[in-house]
Amino acid sequence: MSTILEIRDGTPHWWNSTDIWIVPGNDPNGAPGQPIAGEPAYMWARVRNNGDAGATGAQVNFYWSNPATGVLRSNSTLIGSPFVDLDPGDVQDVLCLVPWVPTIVNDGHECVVAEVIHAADPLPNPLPDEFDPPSYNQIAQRNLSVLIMSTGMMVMAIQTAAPARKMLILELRVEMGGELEQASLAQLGLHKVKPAKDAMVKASLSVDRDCGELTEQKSCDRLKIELKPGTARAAYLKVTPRGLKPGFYTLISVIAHDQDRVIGGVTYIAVSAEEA
Amino acid sequence: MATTPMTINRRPFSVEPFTNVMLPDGIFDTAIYQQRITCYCTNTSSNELKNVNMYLESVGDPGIVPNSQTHFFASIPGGASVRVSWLANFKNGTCGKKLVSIIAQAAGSQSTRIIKQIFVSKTTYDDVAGEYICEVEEGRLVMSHMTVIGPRGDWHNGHSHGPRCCCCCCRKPGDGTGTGDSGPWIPSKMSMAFYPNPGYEGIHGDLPFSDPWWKILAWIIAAIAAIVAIVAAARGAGEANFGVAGTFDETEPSVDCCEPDVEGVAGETEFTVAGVASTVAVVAAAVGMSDVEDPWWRGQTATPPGEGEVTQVEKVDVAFSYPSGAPNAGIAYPVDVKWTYQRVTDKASYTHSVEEQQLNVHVSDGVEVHAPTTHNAFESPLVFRARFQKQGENWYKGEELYALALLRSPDGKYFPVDVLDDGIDFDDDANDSYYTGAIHLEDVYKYLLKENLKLEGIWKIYVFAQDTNGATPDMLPEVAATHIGGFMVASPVHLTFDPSLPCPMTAQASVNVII
Repeated sequence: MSTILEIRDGTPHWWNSTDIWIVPGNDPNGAPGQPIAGEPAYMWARVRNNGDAGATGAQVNFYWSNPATGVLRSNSTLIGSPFVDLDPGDVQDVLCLVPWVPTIVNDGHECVVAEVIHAADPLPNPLPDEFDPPSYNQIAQRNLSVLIMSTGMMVMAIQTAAPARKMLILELRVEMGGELEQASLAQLGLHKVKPAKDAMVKASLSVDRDCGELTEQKSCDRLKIELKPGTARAAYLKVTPRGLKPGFYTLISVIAHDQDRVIGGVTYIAVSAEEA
Repeated sequence: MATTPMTINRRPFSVEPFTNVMLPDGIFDTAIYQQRITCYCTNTSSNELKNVNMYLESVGDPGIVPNSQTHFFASIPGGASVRVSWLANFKNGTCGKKLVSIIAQAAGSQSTRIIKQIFVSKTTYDDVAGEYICEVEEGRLVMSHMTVIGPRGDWHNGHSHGPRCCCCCCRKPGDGTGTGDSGPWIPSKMSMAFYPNPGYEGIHGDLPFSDPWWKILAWIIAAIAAIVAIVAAARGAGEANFGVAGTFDETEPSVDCCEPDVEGVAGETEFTVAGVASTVAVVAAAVGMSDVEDPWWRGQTATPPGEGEVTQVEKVDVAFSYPSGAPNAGIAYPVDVKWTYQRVTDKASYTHSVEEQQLNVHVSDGVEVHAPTTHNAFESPLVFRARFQKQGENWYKGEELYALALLRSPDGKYFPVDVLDDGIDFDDDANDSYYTGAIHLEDVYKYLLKENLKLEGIWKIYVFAQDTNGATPDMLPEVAATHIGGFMVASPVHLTFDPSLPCPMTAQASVNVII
């Protein structure tokens, strides 16, 4: 008899979990959507028990952190820890009633993590600093935000961080395009958008916030960052509209590689301002 | 698959675990670290639900930490309300309205999530100023002076606090571990100031939690002071369980009250008796300040400020006297009350005074307890039924009461028993006004044996009940404010101002237990 708890990872990238969603506003039973900076939001997670033994009083921890490629416990903030009971084969939606207020600084673009803890299906002890959702069924991450584009360039700060006692040389890569599950789009309030055939935006990485408009010469889709153990640095994703079309979206994923291993990422869904 | 047809009709309420009493109006306070989040969950269908699990999913304040616990019911009849509770630590909680979610799932149904509000206040004690402060989001009530009529005995023999000291922490019992008195304390004077947050223009400010009157905050302070003092009396005055020290200013020099008569073996249940006695006592302040409109509301009505003036402080000085003797649960006792309300605005000050008599309206026309005259301890559980009459022909039923019984063994050992009208186990029908308690004496035999106490002989049954708040979310604040819960409508403890007598505990039924 075993208890196997899971919060599913997402597709096309594991940090796009549809088993975590956010309900902005004061009604926790309201419609899912993009969190609004400075206003309360409630977090939900869908937890499964794939085993043949039940789990009573499993604790689901919800965290938020700045948009980051590698999310660590040490740079995340615990929001709340609701409980859930799961029979074998059971699937339950879990609500965290502690209102979460996304910071104004990040303009609502935050990373959220959910993990389910139960003695019958434990996580390692001591817990590693990295959440590392691909390695643990009990942990999932949602690092997915909507970028409402109009005519100007948008600059998104992305945190990169190294765990304590581990040096990292990260390569950030920008990938354009791809398709999200309908459920993922619906959770962000995007019900009728389709993937654009040609990218509607141009995106580039840099280590400084100000370098003016992107040009073919100045743009860069790869960026190397060296991180000493326990330190963090910001990288900047600059996104410029290029033929925005209502009803369509373009995915922009910033993927962090530690040598050949993908250690995390951030995904933005660029849509025309008319979708807002 | 249909969702489990369950709901919570009445606001979840706080039960203090040492005394087992509901806090005033069911409001939680962070000064008491451990509290039980208690509520009635109702089967809204007419069909019986089978194998129902219920657990507290989440609380909307990271500073409030509940224990994980799942309650199981093999069966819940249609329309029945079952009482469930979860212990939670409120030490780091903040004041305000907080959401709690409870999951109920019956066999063959999907789970249902019930989201309700609880009210949380934050009471602290300022040692330097000697003031209690009860904070809510809408403002804070500062109580600078609270005079009480205390229990008989040498209240004036404070060891280290000087000749004027009459606080509950003065007297030491024989073994020196506790602090002495365990109440009851009947309020006689209070000086209070409410600081609205923010100051407001116009006649009336916001009610606490947009629900109860401001007087509730005074009642909360008095109740917390009493509970803390009761526990300190038995356990010592450490602050491991509470965020405040239980202190009253002084007693009336000419009037003393009885002490609860808790004979026999000391145990946790002595807190219940003392807690009930003090709940009955301190609630007199709430009675004196009226359920219909309290002195703040009436004072505000009588002192309309000028246009553009901002009310910054509202003070109420109130004195109570009890012309028909000590207050008692369920009885329409009178309270003579004199109060002065003072509104201080940024430009002027206004005063309004009232002298009147108020009657306790939380009355019961009696408690019936039905128990067998003789019971064989090992044959079956001892089952008893209680009925609580409202004024007139009606009876309390189901979720309208939070009821508890203490069973006293022949040698004086007490055992608490839940008393419920939920149609489960030995309760015949839900909501039929008969609240049933059951205890298998075979189970308690080992505890008695350990202390070399008798099982056979006369067992006494003492029943307590507090009403629950029936306000609904759709009510206007000033209407919801008139619905107040936590009043003791039935109690076997009788308070008296005759200091030569104990507060007698009158058993409502006796059972001859044989083996």
